[in-house]
Amino acid sequence: MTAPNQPPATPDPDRPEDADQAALFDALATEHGTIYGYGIVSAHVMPEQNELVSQTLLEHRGRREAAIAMLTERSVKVPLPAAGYQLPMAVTKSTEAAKLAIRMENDCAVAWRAVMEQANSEQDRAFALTGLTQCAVTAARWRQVLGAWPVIEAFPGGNE
Amino acid sequence: MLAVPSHDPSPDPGYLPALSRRRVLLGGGRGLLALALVGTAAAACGSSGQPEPDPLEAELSAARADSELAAAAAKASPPEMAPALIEVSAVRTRHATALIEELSRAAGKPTPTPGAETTSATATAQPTPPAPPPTLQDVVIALRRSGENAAKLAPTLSGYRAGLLGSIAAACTTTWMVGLQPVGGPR
Repeated sequence: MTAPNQPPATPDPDRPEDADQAALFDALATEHGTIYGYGIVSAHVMPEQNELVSQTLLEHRGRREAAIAMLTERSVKVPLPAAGYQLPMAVTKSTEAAKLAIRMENDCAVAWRAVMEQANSEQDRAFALTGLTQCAVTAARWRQVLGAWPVIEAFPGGNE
Repeated sequence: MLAVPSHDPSPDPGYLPALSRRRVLLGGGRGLLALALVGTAAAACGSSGQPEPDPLEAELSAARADSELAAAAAKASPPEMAPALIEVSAVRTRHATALIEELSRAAGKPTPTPGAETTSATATAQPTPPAPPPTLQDVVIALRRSGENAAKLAPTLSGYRAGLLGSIAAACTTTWMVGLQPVGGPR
């Protein structure tokens, strides 16, 4: 079973006990961080990637809004975006920006696969699958931008 | 005559929501056992009396077929697309391996040696030698279909199986949308 997303250094006291809700909570927190990170990516990538950045950002924002609605409907407190995030790597060049994007898409894929495994309804799993698939497709596009090989990952969000 | 659940998905939403998550949680193992018994009983009501085939069997066949198709296409493709097709073949083989493991685990049997399985699969695929080699487009179509089928099945599964099929669906979709498209193609 895929481990839920890496818990932050100081665990959020609002993180729910239920595994299905906790997975959704973690996925939302990951989306918050990713949306922040894409600001950095956007600042450093080549103009040719602007469309990829804006399209991807729209997808992440859409999922964030949907996840907020899902948790709110279940009377679960939603995680708030942090005031700032520490980047996992220094980003000063366009290639580093692409690497950060791949890293964030992989983190999101892991988070949405965890939702797929923990969710109790077909509807939630279908939503998580869309997230997982979009993150996998975007990660592959960034690998193509970098000229990285292989472009496709066999198990996005998983460790088989 | 009772409907066979696997051929008609509608009975599922009928009885599942009646069993609330809270009740399953409160019941703990008993709740899960009850669900398992419902599954067994429903399967036993099938007209043939045979146990329902594991839905992952079809996914395994698709993974093997895609792997062979991509490998055959790689041999006949322009050199610039061959590495991508070989990679697709390898990815689908890894999917097949993971599915065999999960199927064996579910059946309570040790993992069979993949070698024997692969040989029999190739043997049955043999009797059409004069057919023209598959094209890149054939592989794109096959991967798109496999991605769609896995995406339909994944949300109906639960736990690890839902995650595994979700990753397989995502990989198939990524393959035809990105991996098999020429670099710099339409986004």
